[in-house]
Amino acid sequence: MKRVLLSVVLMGLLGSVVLGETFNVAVVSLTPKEGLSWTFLHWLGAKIAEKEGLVDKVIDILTSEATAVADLTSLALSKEYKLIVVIGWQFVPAVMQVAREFPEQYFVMTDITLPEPMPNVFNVLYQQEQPSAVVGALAAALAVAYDMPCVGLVLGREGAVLHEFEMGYKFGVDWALQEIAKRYPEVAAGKKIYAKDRTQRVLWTYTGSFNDPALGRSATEAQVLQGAGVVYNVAGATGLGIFSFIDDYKTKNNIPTTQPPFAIGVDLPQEWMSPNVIISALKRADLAVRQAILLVRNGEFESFVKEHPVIWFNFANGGMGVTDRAALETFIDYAVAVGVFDPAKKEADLENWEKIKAAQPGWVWEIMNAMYQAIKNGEVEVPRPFGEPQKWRIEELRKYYG
Amino acid sequence: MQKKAELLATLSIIGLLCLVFILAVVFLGKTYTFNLFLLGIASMVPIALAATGELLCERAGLFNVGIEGTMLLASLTAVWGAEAAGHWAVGILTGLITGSLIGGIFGLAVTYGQGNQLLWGLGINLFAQGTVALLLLKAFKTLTFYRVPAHLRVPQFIIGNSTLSWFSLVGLLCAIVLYLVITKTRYGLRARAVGLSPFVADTLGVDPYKLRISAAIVGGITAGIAGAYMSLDWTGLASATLIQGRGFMALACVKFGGLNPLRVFGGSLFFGILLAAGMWLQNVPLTSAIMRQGGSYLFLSLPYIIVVLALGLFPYREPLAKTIGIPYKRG
Amino acid sequence: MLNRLALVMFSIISALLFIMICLLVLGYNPLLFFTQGLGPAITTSRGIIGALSLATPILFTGLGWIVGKKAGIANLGLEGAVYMSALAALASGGLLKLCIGFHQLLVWLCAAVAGAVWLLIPAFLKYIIGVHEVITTLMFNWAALYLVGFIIIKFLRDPAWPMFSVQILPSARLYPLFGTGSATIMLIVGIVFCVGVQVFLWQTRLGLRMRATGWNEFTARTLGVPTSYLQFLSFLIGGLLGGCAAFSLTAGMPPYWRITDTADLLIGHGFNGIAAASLALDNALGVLPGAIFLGIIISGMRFAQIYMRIPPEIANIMTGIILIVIALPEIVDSIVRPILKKREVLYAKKS
Repeated sequence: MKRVLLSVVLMGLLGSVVLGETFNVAVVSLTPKEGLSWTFLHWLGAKIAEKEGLVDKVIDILTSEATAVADLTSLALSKEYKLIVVIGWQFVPAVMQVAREFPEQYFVMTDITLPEPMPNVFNVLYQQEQPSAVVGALAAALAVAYDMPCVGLVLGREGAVLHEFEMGYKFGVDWALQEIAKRYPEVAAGKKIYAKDRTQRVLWTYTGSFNDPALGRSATEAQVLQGAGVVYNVAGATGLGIFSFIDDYKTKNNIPTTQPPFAIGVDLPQEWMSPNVIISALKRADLAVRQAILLVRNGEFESFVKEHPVIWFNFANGGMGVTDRAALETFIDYAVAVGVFDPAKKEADLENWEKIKAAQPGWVWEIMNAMYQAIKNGEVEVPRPFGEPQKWRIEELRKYYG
Repeated sequence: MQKKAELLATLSIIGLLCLVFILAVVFLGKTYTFNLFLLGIASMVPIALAATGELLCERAGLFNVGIEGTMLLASLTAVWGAEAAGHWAVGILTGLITGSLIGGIFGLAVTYGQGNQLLWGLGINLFAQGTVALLLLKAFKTLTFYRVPAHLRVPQFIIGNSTLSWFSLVGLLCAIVLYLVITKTRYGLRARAVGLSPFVADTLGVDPYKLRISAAIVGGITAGIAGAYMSLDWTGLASATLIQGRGFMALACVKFGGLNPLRVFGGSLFFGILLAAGMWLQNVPLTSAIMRQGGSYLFLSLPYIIVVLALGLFPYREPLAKTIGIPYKRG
Repeated sequence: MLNRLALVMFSIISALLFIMICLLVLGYNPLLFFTQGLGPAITTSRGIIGALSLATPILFTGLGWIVGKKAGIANLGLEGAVYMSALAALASGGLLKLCIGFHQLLVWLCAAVAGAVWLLIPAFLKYIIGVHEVITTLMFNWAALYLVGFIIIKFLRDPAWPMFSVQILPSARLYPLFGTGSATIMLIVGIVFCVGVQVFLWQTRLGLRMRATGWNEFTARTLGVPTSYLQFLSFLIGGLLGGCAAFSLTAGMPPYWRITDTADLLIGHGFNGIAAASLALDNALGVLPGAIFLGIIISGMRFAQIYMRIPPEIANIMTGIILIVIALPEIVDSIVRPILKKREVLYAKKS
């Protein structure tokens, strides 16, 4: 899988041949790019390709379930957009219908399996519980290092997709605490988080909205005041409230950025949004869009989709991950390229991130990497609330993990 | 007789709240309850501010569904004003002025323009969303949100581990001032008269158009302050999705009070604490059995259901302005 | 009647003028808006079908609002009624199995009754205690939004696709009349209901009493009209109509025939119905052109996004401007009146 990705990227770099006709991409979503994570990430992938000359124009369209079929049909009929990126698993029936009607129109569909594989739909699935588990391990390690009684999790609106993030995080916390007790028993001795019942170690709040920063702030404040030192953002734009609260809290109490409370970002490296974000769980939708664009450019879309009806993005092929310096630099460059980030602040941001990292005890990063490797090598399987066979396990998982 | 029943109702609500408070302290602990209270105050402020101004509007016969759009536009212009002048006070002032301008246009449109107030409200909400998103893109050159720099944020009271905003006191002050205006001044009397019967008021020399415009401006001012609070004080962000329904919550909270802005303030406080509790209760060990089964939604809907129950148990009958929502035509 | 129509026409034209100025200021070609935005919405079959599809649920919620308004209550709770009726429709349509004709009728009945049941509590509170309906209905809207999520996660989840609710079975589905889109037979039903509500309000005794309640509650009560009961009834009728809207949105929405756990499909139809009814000056017959007008505007904005590449923020601004400008008939009147006076047309003003 990684080989395929790499070869495609290389071919894309080598073969920058003008296609002879315009190549426009339409990014269709339910929510505007205002979320600054999920929709934004897809759009970013397409926009960067535009900046590099791989596509001619990128437009973003807001649609709704009621009008999705009509909008997608209009896009397909206009024949102006070679690739339509559809963000939102709600649109799966609409995409199926329009894809059947227009077999020459290429689509990208993410986050849900198509009921039957379509030759013109690039179907990407993300194993989002994997990076959630890794950041959960980090959060647990930080909780032990700073003797905090619990860790926090702020989510958006409860639903099947967010359940995966939630369980991945809780699993990571649990696994890491066991590992720390095994590897560094002297560090683990007498820490508050071990004294707590397993189901009380993670404070999790569903704010009910993906768009409301004020709610995110309230939820984070409630968690931090109850002792959570690390808060994981799984809430889109609501997450802006998390960063805003933690920044304010540290300023008010004169806590340096290298000390808790920390925030953990999601989907893209959100370290540039706030100096208190220690790491982010990456879901590289921009790579998926980019790969689709390159496939279309090289005329290999259909053959690739035939070979790989469903493409899983996970640690093994680099589609998911946690922030490392390379990823952070790449994203800051992207943000500068689309004009939302001041390039003068780049060095300061990178330095600050390195400083935060360096200020933590080394074993914290060891535990996180251990989780990462264990998942990547398949030694550990993060429980999924629903998977093959389609059994719904969220209640029993919550009974165990909290 | 009604006054006695009213007093009894208010006292019993206060008694009930004290009981809930004592239970919370016993089960959750002193610091938790205190922090929850402060969180609730933070949630209450925009709703209370907007509701007190809207109360005056409704007394005069205007139903301003566009509070939400006003708050949103005011939140953005407040940030702009603060940036331009370098001080948060100017920002608050700018938000206030924006609110009053939009309120004034609303007043003109529904009096001289004989406009439909609901359509105006829905229209301004959409307009505000689009404009704020566009301005963020073009004028602030950021995508989707703008972090207000730290020196422009409104300074807060620091109490223990949490903070209290000056605006909660401003809200209380607004409620007291409006209470005095509505019940004790000639202007308030005239406003009520225009609301109950604009024709009679007109024949007796009170210009209903001018009065309604002034009421709309006051409503706009408080909504503007509320919007400025949300961006400069509470969240420190300017975003197109900042307000998210708080204008409608204010609209609902107005009905708590009838004639009395103090009751509106109290009702908003009650509502705000419940909103914060909806978040907080999800983390408490007691509730994990419910949370396990997808019960987060139940806690999120708690404030709304409890408010309706409270109104059912402690009703407040107050004749609303009869002519609310109907434009008055001078024949 | 005619000058009212003329007023509305002039409102629409002035709204379009404002839009063109707005586009010019923002740097787009305003004439393109007509060829590539509103044009396809009115001329192409896809546009017309899209407008009709968008109008179908709005017809019912608009009628629900009007019935309430005529009886003197502001029934803002139609949003919540739509959410809860959709749940009932999904439960009866997805979990039960019946033969084709009966299943659809049953689902329709369940949805309508669920809408009325959801509004029972605000109605009771108003009837018995006198709590103002604005606060109870608005609060119930939010409560409904969250309860929908809870009930779908706990009870109505599709076991194969947990992020979706159960799907309405083929025996209960409604199919579009024009091949594509979602203008199903409920559109015809909606038109019939428009006429029906108008007849009910203006030709029946019950309707007359309802209107009397709305016109002047005190006088009506003095004359023996059971005002509280009639207001209660109008709440329930609003709920029934909201249920019809929900039926059309779940059983009549190919290719989904289900909702997600965030219920995005259902959001906004209550308020759009209020907008359509206000555009129609609260006239039951006028809700049809009002709803179609809203449908044309919304689908015109979509075409503008796709063909003119107008960003969605500007589409929002334009829709907002249209609603605001149309809300100002008198300003238009004060422009039109001098012109008409010149032709010596008597302008009868109602006060």
